[in-house]
Amino acid sequence: MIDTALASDRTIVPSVSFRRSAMRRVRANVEVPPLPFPWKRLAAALGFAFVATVASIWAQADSAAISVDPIPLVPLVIAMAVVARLTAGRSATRTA
Amino acid sequence: MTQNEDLSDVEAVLRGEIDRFEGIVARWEGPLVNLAWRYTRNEALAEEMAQEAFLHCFRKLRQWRRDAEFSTWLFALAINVYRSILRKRRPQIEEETALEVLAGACSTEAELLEDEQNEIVRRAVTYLPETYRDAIIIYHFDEMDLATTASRLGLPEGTVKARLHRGRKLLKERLEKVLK
Repeated sequence: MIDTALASDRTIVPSVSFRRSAMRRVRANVEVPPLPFPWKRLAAALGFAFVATVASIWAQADSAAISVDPIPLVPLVIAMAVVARLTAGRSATRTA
Repeated sequence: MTQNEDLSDVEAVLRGEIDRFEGIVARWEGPLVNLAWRYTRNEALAEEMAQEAFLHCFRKLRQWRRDAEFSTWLFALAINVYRSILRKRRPQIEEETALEVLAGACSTEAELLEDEQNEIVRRAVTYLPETYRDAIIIYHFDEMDLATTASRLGLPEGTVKARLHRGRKLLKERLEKVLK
């Protein structure tokens, strides 16, 4: 009885729109581009942070009449230089 | 012939000719929809599941190793997709209750017609534990070809035979309660 029931199962025909729907999903899967990393925004944000930090330190030094040791700022300057170089490199690649 | 067409379309899609995937869909939409139908007994859901299977196929096309037939790989992938979908969808219901309701709804006569009995059997298969359900569905879908069933399930033939035997036994016990 089990074999008879399962062997005699009817066959269904996919709907007319099946193929079109399937291909639509496949194409949608292909066409989503990856989000680019916002290098320029990062450089601008770091630049602003650097300027704000320097301005704040100088303002405090000026009001307290204390001489500011610039050495702690060196790592920040190096980081800015690296980011600027990377941004310049990416812009050159995009143009090419 | 189908294997050559599949290979040609797969290679074209992997080169970037996405539209060639339609050839694969055209050749296999019938079998995949019908396989899903046997799992769900619901035509709309069967089409939805088959579409999901084709999407997975497209995403994983690079993983097809040419040593196996494309149909074997495609069916194995579809079975995994169907299992995954059904695990998420199927509510926890008492199978016997569901079958009793079905038996009661089918006919008001004392004896169920043969067609109705057959449909109850087919539904009862979908309520079996996954390992038995898959073996029975694929075996009958493949017209009782044990070797093809085993390759599609990725199991030795002996294991498939054992699952068929246990699955049928469990099915018979459940049906005896419903169709008494």
